[in-house]
This record gives sequence, structure tokens and C-alpha cells, in this order.
Amino acid sequence: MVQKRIWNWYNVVLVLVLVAAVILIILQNTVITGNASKVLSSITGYATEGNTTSNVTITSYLSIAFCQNLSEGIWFGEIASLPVTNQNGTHNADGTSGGTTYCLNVSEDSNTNVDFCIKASGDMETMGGDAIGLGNETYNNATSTDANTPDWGTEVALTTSYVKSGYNVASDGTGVNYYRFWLDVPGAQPAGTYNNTVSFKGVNTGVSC
Amino acid sequence: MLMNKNRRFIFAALFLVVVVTLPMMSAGVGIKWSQESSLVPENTKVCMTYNVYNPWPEDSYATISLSQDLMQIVDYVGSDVVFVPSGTSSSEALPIKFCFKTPKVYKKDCWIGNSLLCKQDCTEEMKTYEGEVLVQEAASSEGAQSAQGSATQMAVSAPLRIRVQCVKTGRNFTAIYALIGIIAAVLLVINLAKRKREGKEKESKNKKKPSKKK
Repeated sequence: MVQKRIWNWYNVVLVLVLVAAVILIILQNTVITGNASKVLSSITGYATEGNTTSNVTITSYLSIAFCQNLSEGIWFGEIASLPVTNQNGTHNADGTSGGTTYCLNVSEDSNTNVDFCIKASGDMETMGGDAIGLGNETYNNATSTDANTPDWGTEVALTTSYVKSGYNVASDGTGVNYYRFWLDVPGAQPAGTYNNTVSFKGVNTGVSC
Repeated sequence: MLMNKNRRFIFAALFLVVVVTLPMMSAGVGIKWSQESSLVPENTKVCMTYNVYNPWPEDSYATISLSQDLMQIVDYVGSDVVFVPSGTSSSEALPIKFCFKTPKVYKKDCWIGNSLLCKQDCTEEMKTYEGEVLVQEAASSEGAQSAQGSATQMAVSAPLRIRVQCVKTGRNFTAIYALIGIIAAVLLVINLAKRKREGKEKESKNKKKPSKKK
């Protein structure tokens, strides 16, 4: 009889532990984790103040396009005698008044002026692995063009990271960024066809590349 | 008569302007965005939409990608090429959606291993990832590499800053409670089974005893 009672109490305790465990699991995953406080915070009682939200969405948009000749690539033609300094890009001066026809346009369907960034994929290389160092490929740019602009005397070497080239090019339909490109080829350069890729990026004016 | 001549001259001039300027431009690409930063809880999947357009006179194809700084927290970016018809203005821009899942970046204080009985105090500084969303014109001059020189590519970009939010949590004892509950349930079942067996044995003994008396 005593044995029977002890077992009964033992069972009751186990049931209580089981129930307590279930209750604690429920509490842990609802009230204790803070979800209940969200419910309580919505009860405001007699409100004497009112709030409203104020909201605005600012939208930016910009669009650019290559001029035809730049979209076809930057070519330096056939070079027969080395070394060569400042070999001109084939469209460096074939525009009206001797201007360049390498350019990028900013659409008037843009609501911000545009800064341009430029980079190259790496050295100019042949399929066989010969290379012309990237420092030999240079450019200059301006927002207008004629026989003297962009300036022939100021060259900037291309790099493998984007750097800012054109600044604050207008988005009123007149904004154009003109480029001239040059290539230096050392005397001992092996014969071959050398290529790389030059990338241009338009960003919101004032934003880094 | 003079008016007609003037009109013809104006039309001819306009025609010339159109003929001369149109071939000067190639296909272009545009990006439209209305969000440059986002606050996202850690370990959460988020989708964002950017819009591409092409107000230029030639059709173009565009792809969307993220800069390297943001790629470390991004699971997947749709890399499909989107056709953007010529004359698509910014008001008709086509949406491109991309999704990413923020990583677990904040430390948890766990009693067992890295995932049991953990709490998160969020005492660390909020982590921010900065980069840009790039829309690149898919058609480029890369194919035309027969001559000596450089192929060209073009892209437009929008800045994007993602701040990963730490979610404060208390220590979670669920596993312990569950373990205690399971142990109690198992002991209870064993005990009940034992008692049932004992009861049956007693019953059978009681049944046997009267037969002996007979």
C-alpha cells in the first residue's frame, strides 16, 4: 500500500514537471522573447495626443549612350615602325573642326548631372601573352571638342580601377563627354594584335566611382 | 511661294540634322532608383527592385550586377539579360528585381556549442556594407577585336548602402525545457507500464490463490 502511494506521488510529480516544461516552452517563445510587449504597447488608453507620419520618396535616374565611334572600340590602326609615341586613336580628330568623335552622351531624360569613370581590364595583350603595359595607353577628356580640345598635351594613363574622368556633365540634352586616346609602343615590342577592354561608367554627380 | 521655299528649307535642315545625329549615337542604358540605403535584420532574405530604361534611338540589352563590396553578403543576383526597347523613357522604366540574404554577422553568447542556450546582446557596432548596383549594356564592342586596340563597355550605377541590424534576444532555454519534459514523459510512461505489468501479475496471482484453496 505504501509502495503504491509512493508510486502515485512519483507519477504526479512527473506529470507536474511535464506540464511545467510545456508551459515554460510556450512562455519562452512568446512572452519572454518580447512579443508580448508589442501587444501591450498598442494599448494607449485615453489618448490626448495624435501622431501622423510624413513621408517622401526621392527618385534619381540617369541614362548615357556611347557615340557610334566609341561603341565600336578604340583602335590605333597598324603600326609599322617602332618605337611609337602617342599613336592616335583612329577617331581622335575626325569630327567637325578637327574634334574627336569618341564621346559619351548624357540623356535629357535624366534628373541628375553625370560624372564619368573610366578603367581598363589590364595590359593590352596578344592571344600568345605578349603585352603592352597599361601605362602606355593614355587619354584626355573634355565636355566640348575642337582641334585643340580635349588637350593634346595632357595625358592620363588608364588604370585597372575606375577613376573619375568627366565631371558634372549636363543632363539638359547638351551634355557630352569627349575623349582622345593615345598609345605608346616600345621599340622591342613583339609583333602581334594587342587588345584589352576599356570600361566607362556613369554615376550621379558627386558620387565616387 | 517664298513661304513654301522656306518650309522646304526647314524640313530639309531638320532631315539633315536627324540623319546626321542618329547614327552618331549607339544604344544606351539608364538606371532609375529610389533607395540608396536599407536596414535589414541579419540572416534575412530581402529583395530590391531597380528600373532600367533606354531613351536612345536603338534597342539595347542590359544586365544588373553588384559591386564586389556587396557581393560578400549577397546570395543571388538575377543575371538575366533584359531587353530594353529604344525610346523607353524613365517613366516607363522596366523593373529588375534582385534578392539577397544578409549573413549572420553578430556574435552570440552560447552556453553549449555555437547554437544552444544562446543570447544576443547586440553590443557590437552596426555593420554596414557599401557598394553599388551596376546596370551594364550587354552589347558591347568586345566581339570586334580583330584590329589592334581596346573594346569598350558602358555601365551606369546607383550607390547602395546596406546596414545589417542586430536582433537582440534573451537566452533561449527551450531546448532544456524540452529535454526535461521528454525525460519526465519517458519516466512516466515507463512507470505506468511497470505498474500495469505489476497489476496484471497481482491479478494472475489472486486468480491462482483461490484455486489452491479448492
